[in-house]
Order: sequence, then structure tokens, then C-alpha cells
Amino acid sequence: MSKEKEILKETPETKEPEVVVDVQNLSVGFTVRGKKINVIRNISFKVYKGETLAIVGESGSGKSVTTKTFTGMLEKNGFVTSGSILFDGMNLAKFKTDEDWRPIRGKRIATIFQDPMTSLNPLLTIGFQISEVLRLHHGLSKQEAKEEAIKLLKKVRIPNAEARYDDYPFQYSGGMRQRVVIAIALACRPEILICDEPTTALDVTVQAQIIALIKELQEEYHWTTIFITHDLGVVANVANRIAVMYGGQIVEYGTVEDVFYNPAHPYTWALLASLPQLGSKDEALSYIKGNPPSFSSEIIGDAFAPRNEYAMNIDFVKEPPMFQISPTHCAKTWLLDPRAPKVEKPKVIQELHARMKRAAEELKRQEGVEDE
Amino acid sequence: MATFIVGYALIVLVVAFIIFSILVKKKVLFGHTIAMQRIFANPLLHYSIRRVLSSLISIALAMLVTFFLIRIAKSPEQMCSRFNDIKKPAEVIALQCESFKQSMGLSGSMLEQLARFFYSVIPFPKLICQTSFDLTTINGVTTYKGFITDCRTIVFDLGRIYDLNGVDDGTLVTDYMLSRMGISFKIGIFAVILELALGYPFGILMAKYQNGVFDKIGKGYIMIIDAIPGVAYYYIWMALLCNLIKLPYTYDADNVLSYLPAIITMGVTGASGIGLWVRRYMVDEFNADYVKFARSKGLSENRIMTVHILRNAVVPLVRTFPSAVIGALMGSYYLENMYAINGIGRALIIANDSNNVWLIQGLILFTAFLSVISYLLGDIVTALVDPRISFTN
Repeated sequence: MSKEKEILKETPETKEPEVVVDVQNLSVGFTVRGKKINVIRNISFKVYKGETLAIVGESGSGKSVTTKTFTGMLEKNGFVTSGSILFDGMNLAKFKTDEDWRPIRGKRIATIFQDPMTSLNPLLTIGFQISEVLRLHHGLSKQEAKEEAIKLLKKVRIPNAEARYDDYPFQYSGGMRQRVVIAIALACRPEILICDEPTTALDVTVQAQIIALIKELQEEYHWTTIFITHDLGVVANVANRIAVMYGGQIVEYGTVEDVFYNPAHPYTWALLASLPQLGSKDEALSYIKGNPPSFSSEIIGDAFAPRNEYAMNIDFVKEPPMFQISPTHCAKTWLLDPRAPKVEKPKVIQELHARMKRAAEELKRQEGVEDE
Repeated sequence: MATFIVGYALIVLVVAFIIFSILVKKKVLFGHTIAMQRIFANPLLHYSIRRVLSSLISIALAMLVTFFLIRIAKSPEQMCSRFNDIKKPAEVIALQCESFKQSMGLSGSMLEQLARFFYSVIPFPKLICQTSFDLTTINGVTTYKGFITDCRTIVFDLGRIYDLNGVDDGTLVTDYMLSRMGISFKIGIFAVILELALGYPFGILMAKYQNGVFDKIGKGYIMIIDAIPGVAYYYIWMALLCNLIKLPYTYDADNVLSYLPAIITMGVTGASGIGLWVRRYMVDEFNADYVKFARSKGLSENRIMTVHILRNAVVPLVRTFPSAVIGALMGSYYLENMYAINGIGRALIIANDSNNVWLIQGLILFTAFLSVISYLLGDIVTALVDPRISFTN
């Protein structure tokens, strides 16, 4: 406990960085078979300039839907029911037509999607798909765009970029395609880059390369990244801040240090406890029992309550408010209420710091072996 | 003599070309000359050669089947029905029938006839003569005497026409088909152009405003065309075009206006089918990931439609381009009947009604050949638009 406090103190309480996107009380609904369901339920968070915000949560928690509202890419049956998304003095939640979105999409907020195998048009050359963006957003001529595109391909480390400019996507591997997708995002020169599970479809060694590439390019181009993933292991590497989503709500929000060293929500505990990197050989890997909530009926109380070992009676009746733990850290659980009984965190969480250290050392040792 | 030389020269050239390109591909010849390899070892060329050679088998099979089917369907009495006349003695009719069958190559055993059929169809120059028979009465015995009337060197012979309308009697089936095909094609090709020019924008607009007013009207139109039998529908257009707009009712080779009713009817009908498929393939592509990514890049909806979606939607459709154009060669039975066009579309029915065995065989052989060619061209065109397709094994 004392150690955690130390760390909190160590992080210097500098001036709050500039806010790029301010999401306030955002709710998103979908019409499914004539029935309206609420998928994002009243969430608020801020994205800070130059930082990486990771949104984590299991499938169906609303991670992707949240970021889709930033570029108006919701499916046809989806709509923002209330709330606002403030970006550069505009309220994106009010945008309706594709015409409204055009100056935002790509140019200011670019997105990288999950599956690089299908993100590129199979019938157009790689070169065409990159230079198309350069010509559109930067008004380059065909020849200039080609030169610039080749530079970008080199930047994302496509070997032999000149020769591969005229190749088609099917001639590239999955990892290479994701690099091309990143090059296209680069070509947009966006202020915000949304990475929607960019590595999920790739194999593990390629994943690390892609994440390293995104990090490296971010340092060079100073954009803000919103990183959607369900892999907390990835998050520790890339993020400055973490938003944990469950059942269409943000249940915990804080800096990486806050969430990894002092997780407060039982769902975050469960997520961390189920990380295989943090398990030890003599104990069974823990997992979260049950299923994520269905949105077809209204959720009463805390959405996580039915799967929560620490659930109290009130969790089934009344939705918990957001409790501010520190200026940067907040969580949505009744356990933080002063009236709640003190609970013992799971063993893994108590030992989290030591275990993470051990996992990091293990990783280093393995990499050392590989290098040799 | 000229046909002879040209015919053989052509055959030798084609065979030599095939053998040469196979040798180059196997690197027996010019194994290291890049230019030669590029031209003669081209995968597309070898794919085409393979396809054409293997389709010869299917064409031969089609020939065999039609040959036997016709001979099962058309009894000897049927073939000679035109000689029936109560005033004539029976043996005269029998003689006439026999002489007629001989002159048409329809006498002898099945195998003999088959051999004769293949001999005339396999393309190499040969002398084909027509034998005419006349009845003569010598010493009170009625018999027939044959004499050769017309001998020609023909590379590809499909027999002759007999007793169609008196005019075409004795013309070569190939000449007959070619002239009729020319007429059908003159109308059909414009119909195809109209079909594409209407069908594509129709489908694209329906897809673009999916579930909108235009889409609903369009779908209604497609459904009507599907539901109403073709003939009834054609007559509605006939009433519109000929009664209201006063276009000519009957085809006249010298009057271009008289082509219009058939062209418009065919084009407008075909456009509905094309529109349906264009819409369907485009709507399929709407939800593709690359479309979402293109949108997230900031491209305009029109650009996404025309550059990204249409290109993908067109891939399965271009396959039908060659068969549509070649299909124009085959004409339309109903329309040719309605507007009295001497096209090939009616020929099969006419041939069947008049028991023109050779014409039936010729038409079926030609249809089989055209469909083989159009499928091959369809494959090639698809490969041209889709870089993912390659012709190497």
C-alpha cells in the first residue's frame, strides 16, 4: 500500500495537459428489429493531446462504438442519443451527413481497423491507395504523391518500396498490409489516430513490431492515439491513460500507473488477474465467469454485478456513481463508497507489482535468448 | 483452288503456332530469349490453347448428341413428308424420298452418316458436290438418275438447306446462317449497348439510394419484368413504340427506324437484369471493410462509389460481357417473329418445322462453339480486371 502511495506522489502533479477530445455524457443507441437498445450508456472522458488513451474491455463492451462516433462511422442503425463530443470547438455528436464529416475523417481523425487483410481494396494497387489520400488531403500532383507515398512506405519499413508501389494487397502479408494501412493513416497527417484493435488479426511476433512502429511514429508526428484493445498486456506498453469499459460504460479511468498499481474496480481486478503473463505456474489461471450483459433488456444496478465476486446487494439495485480516487483516477463501483465494507483484493492484484516486475524480467530474458 | 491453298495455309499456321508456343514454353526453343518467352510462353495464351483444345471435346460431344437425337426425332417418313401426294404412286414417292435422302447425305447406315457428318464438319479443304436427282421413266419403269450440279471447295461444310421457302433451296447452311446472323447482330449489338448504357446507371443509382424512392421504383420495375411473360411484355412495348410513337411495325433493312422497336425492347428488358445484379453486387460491397476504411480516409461518397465499390462489384459482371455480345449473334426468336426480321433467332424453329436436319445440326454446333468462346473470353476479361487471378496452374 505504501509503495503505491509513493508512486502516486512520484508522478509529478504538473499542469493538466491540453484536452483534444472531451466526451460528455455520451449515449449511443441502435435500432435492432424495430427495438431501440442502448449500447453506450452515459460515458464521459477526456483525451489529452499527444497522449495515448487505451480503451480496454471485452467484446461487446462498446469500445469500438465509442470511437466510431468520433468519425461518424456508426452503422446505419446506430445513432448518438444524447451527450456531446467536443473537438476543436465543434460538437461531433451533432454531425449528421457524410458532408459534415468529410473535413474530419482522415484529415483530422484517422482510423486503423482490426483486419488488415480486408481493410485495403483488393483491386487497387498499394500505391494508388496511399497516393489517393495524399492527393485528396494535401493536393499533391500524381507524381508528387507517388514520391511522397514511397517515402511513407519506407517510413513504415516496407522493403523495396519503389518496386512494391505497384503491387496489389494480395501480394502482401498480413503484417505488411497493416504497415500499409498505417502508411495511409500517416499520409492523412491526422491529429488523432484511432487504432481499433490493430494487432488482433496478426500473429504475436508481428503484433510487437506493429505496436513498436505505431509508438515510434507517434513520437515523430506527435499525434494523439486512441488505442482500442482487449489485451491489457499491450496496453501497458503503449498507453498513458486507460479507460476500462464494461457493458457500455467506463468503469475505471486513470493513468497507466493508476490502473496497473492501484486498480479499484472489481472488473479491472478480474481482467488483470486473468493476464497469463502475471500468472504463476503453480496456480490455475483465473478467468471471469459468466457472460457479458445483454443490451436487449434494461440493465439495473451495476452491469458487472452478476459476475462480480465482490458484489453487494446495492449493486443489483442501484447504479454506482463515478468515485474520484485521485485527480487522474476514478472508478465506478460501490466498493469505493465510504459506507462499503473493506474488502481484500484478490491475491494477484495484491502481488501485482512484484508479478509485473517478474513478467518483465522474464520477457527481457527471453528476448536476450532470442537475440543470441 | 484459292480456297484450297488458303485453307491449308491457315490450318498449318494455327497448328504450327500452337506447337511452337508449347515448345517455347517447355524451353525446348528460345529457352533463354526473354522476348520470345514473354510472347509465346504467356500463361494467358497457354490457358486459351488448353481451353480451346479441351472444348473441342465438348463440341464433338454436342455434335454426337444432336446427330443422334435428330435422327431419333425425325423419322424417315417425316423427312420425306413433302413428297407425299395422293396423286402419286407410292413407289414414286419412295423413290423420290430415297433420292432426296441420298442427295442430302441422309442415306445409308447411322455410322456412315455420322462419318460423313464429321468429315464435312472437321475443317480442312474438301470438294463438296451437290447431287440432284430427277425421276425418269425408262421402258415404263420409273427410276431416278443423279447428276452433279454444283461442286465447291469448302473448308467447313454444314450441308445444304432444302425446301425452306423455295428461295433458299440448295444454299449452303453456313452461308444461310451467316447472312441471318448478320441481320440479328446488327440489331443485337445495339440492344446490348443500350442494355449496358441503361443497366449500369440504373443499378448504381438503386444501390446508391438503397431503400429510397428510386430504388423502390426500380425494384418494382425489375419485378414486373420478371413476373410478366416475355411475350406479353414485348407486345406492350410494341404497342408503345409502334402505335404511339409510330415506329415501323416491320423490319426493313433499308430503314434504320425500323430497327428501333426491336433494339429498344431488347435493351430495356435486358437493362432490368443488369441493374438487378449491379445493385446486388454493389450493396454486397457496401459493408466491406475496405469501404469503411476508404470512408475513414475522408474520401467522398461519390469517389468511394465509383472508384472503390464499382470496381469490385463489376468483377463478377464483366464475365458476362463477352457472352452478351456474342449472344447478340444468336438473335431473339420472339422479337424476330414480331417484327418480321430475317434473323438467326427464328432459324432453329424454322429448321425444325421444315425438317432441315443439316440446319438444325449447324445451328446447335454453332451455338455450342459460340458459348465455348464466350466463356473463354469471359474468363480472360475477368482476369484483366482482377489482378488476383493468374493463369499459371
